[in-house]
Order: sequence, then structure tokens, then C-alpha cells
Amino acid sequence: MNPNRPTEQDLHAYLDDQLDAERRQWVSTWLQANPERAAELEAWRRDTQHLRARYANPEQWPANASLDPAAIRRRQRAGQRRWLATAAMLVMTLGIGLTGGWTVRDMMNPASPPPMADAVQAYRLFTDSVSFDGNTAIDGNTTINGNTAIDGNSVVGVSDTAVPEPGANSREKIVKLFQAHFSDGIMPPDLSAAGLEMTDARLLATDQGPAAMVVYRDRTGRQMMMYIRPPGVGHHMLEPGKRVDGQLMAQYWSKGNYNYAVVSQPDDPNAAMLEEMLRES
Amino acid sequence: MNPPDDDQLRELLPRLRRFAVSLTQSPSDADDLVQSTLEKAISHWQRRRPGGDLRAWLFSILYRQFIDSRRRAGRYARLMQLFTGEPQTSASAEDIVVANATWEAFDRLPPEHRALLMLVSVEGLSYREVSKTLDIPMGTVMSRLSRARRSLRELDEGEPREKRPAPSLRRLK
Repeated sequence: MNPNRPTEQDLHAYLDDQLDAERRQWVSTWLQANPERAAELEAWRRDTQHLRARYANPEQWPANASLDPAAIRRRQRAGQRRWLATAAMLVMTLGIGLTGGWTVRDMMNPASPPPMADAVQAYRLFTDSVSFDGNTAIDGNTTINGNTAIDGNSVVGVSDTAVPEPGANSREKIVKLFQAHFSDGIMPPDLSAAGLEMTDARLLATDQGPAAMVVYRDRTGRQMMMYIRPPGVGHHMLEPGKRVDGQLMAQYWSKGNYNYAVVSQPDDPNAAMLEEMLRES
Repeated sequence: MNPPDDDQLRELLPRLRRFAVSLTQSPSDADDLVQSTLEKAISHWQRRRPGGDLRAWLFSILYRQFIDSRRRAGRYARLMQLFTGEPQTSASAEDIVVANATWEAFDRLPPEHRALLMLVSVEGLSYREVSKTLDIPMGTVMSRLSRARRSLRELDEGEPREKRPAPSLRRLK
């Protein structure tokens, strides 16, 4: 760059009046000595003036009311309200859809019963009506496959075998029953050493196949029940758990191809023992 | 920060419209551009630099909006071309301007040059303000200004650049 000559930037800044006074004077002097450059600069100045004239007085252009800031803010607020209304409507529609869908789902799929409800029902039905000391007409010779009724109230759909009294004979029959129907299931343990006798064993029918219950009774007459059944619909296996249903407690779990439950009175210490033995078998 | 001052904005409205017309070259498109600029300015008022020049801030929003809309239009045209297999038949404003030789030389400059000349020559912004407004470095402001003025001259005289000897001033840089 020749320090004796203004740069292109200097010439534009001169034209645009963006030089300080001293430099402006220097460029002005230089231009007087360089008429060719001065002429070029003069052409640029004319272009600038022409441009200014062309775009002069924009405030005299026809007004456009929609460009007024107040009008724009009004439209923005209205737009926000519309947006909020649309969003609220969408939320409401979604809510109605979800609620309706859930209701229909509930209607189409009635609430599933609590786990092993059938075990609790079996306990209620058979431990109350059939007890070892009961006067019901138990046929002492009833066999596993026999359809002989325990008593006149035998439940339809239940193929049963009543074990009239504790003892080796009863135990043998129960083993046969389990071997016949629950070959890979857990056998009900012999708890006679703990003073618990098997007082009843029944084969029951479910939608998924045979189930069975075995009732134990301690010396005080308190009863508890082991229950075995196939998994529910869709081979539904149970998470281990327990629940209290009225005056009864059911402990339940799944193992192998079966669901198990021990149903007892909630404060029966033997129930925990039985459950532990079954689960560890 | 105070809420938008309508009077301040109203006062600058004619200048915004003028800048917009110089870019879009259509009064209705220009007003659309000004409207979207004001909408953005009002909703982004909190982001405004305290004590900053309101006019330069608004010009910078307007210019960005204009560039964005051009990009969108370009993408749309390419998309249409993809589907139809033909270049878009309705020419852009730019094409019309270039084709129409009766229009003024200024209108035939690229929009980047028009924006620069408007801000420097008509609005009287300093080079530094222009650099911030158009979001380009100072060096680019100066080189673009030089190109814009020379292009304007050539278009005005109806001579393509190739036929003219390179101006001696160029060698000074």
C-alpha cells in the first residue's frame, strides 16, 4: 500500500463522510491532484444521490394499518388465545379419548380376580362343610377315581376323593392322586411329626386342568390347606406373594408347571412352615 | 427492560418499509416482511441489547428474515424441481428484475449489495453498524461496498464488467 495515496477504503469512507477531519482533508487534496479518481468518486456520489432521491420520504408512502405495532400486538395476543384454545381442545379430546378408551377396556376386560382366589374359595367351601369330625357321610372306601359323593352337598364339577381319616392308607391315596394328575408337581409333605394330619384331599376341575387341595389339621382343630393348580390363562405364572382375604391368608407362588397356595388363618404358624417346605422341595 | 414502545416503532416504520422494498422490490412483499420483522421484534424485545440502536437492531432482524425467506423459497423451488423434474416456471423476483432491462441499475444488483448500499448511502449507518446489522466482518463490508458501487456504475452505463479495463484503484488494496 502506497502511503502517499488513499486506499480504496479511504475513498469510500470519504464519500460516506466517515473519515476524521485530518484524513478527509488529505484525501480531498489528493483528489484535486488526481482528477481521474475524483471523477470516479463523483460518479459514485451521483449514484448515491440518485438512490437517496429514489427512496426519499418513505413516510409519505400510503399507510398500512396492519403494520401498526399496536395492531400487531393485538393479533399476536389473539393468535396466542387461539393457540391456547386449540391446545386446550386437544388436551380435552385426548382426555376424553383416554377416559373413554379405559372405560371400554374395563368393560371388555372385567377385573381379573385376585391371585389364587380359587384356592381361598376351595378352603372356604371344603374346610367349613367337610371336617374330619363332621357328621357328613364320608364313605371311607371312596377311591381316588371314584365319583362317590362325600355327602349330598358335593359340588358339581368337583371330582373328589375324601380322605376320611389320617393314616398310611390316606397318605398312599394322596400320593397316587398327585402322581396321576401332578406327576411333576410337589407332593404334599407328611407333617404328622409336627402333629398335623391330612384330613381331606380333593381333586378339583378348572378351565386349565385339574387342581387339588389337601387339608391339614393340627391337634387343636385348626386347619390349613395346600393348593395346587395349573397356571392361569396364557400360562400366567405368579409373582410370589401373600394376601389376606377376609379371615384367611393366602400365600402363593409358582414353581415348575404349577401355581401353589397355602391357605390358612392369618396367625397360623404352621402355614409358614408348610409354605417353606413346599417352596424348598 | 421496558416493553416495546409503540411510538418508537411507529417512528421507524417508514425506514423499515423502505429497506424492505429495496430488498424485496415489491411493496406488498415488503410490508409482509416488515410485519414479520415487527412481530419478531415485539416477541423478542427482552433480548434486545440495552442501550443498543433500535434502528440497527430492527434492520438486522428484517435482513435476517429476508435471507431466511429467500432460503426457504430456494428450498421450495428445489423440492418442486425434484417432483416435477423441471425448473420452477414462475421466476423468482430476482430473475424478473434481471430480465427487465428497463428497471433501474440498482434493482439489478444482488440483494446483498442492495442491502449494503441502502444502509450506507440512504440510512447513513457507520461501517461498523452495517457490519453488525448484516452480520458480516468489517473487511467484507468494505470489499462488498466497493464491488456494489462498481457494479452499479457498470449496470448504469450498460457495460458488462469484462469489457472494461480493471480500474486502477483496485491495485491500491
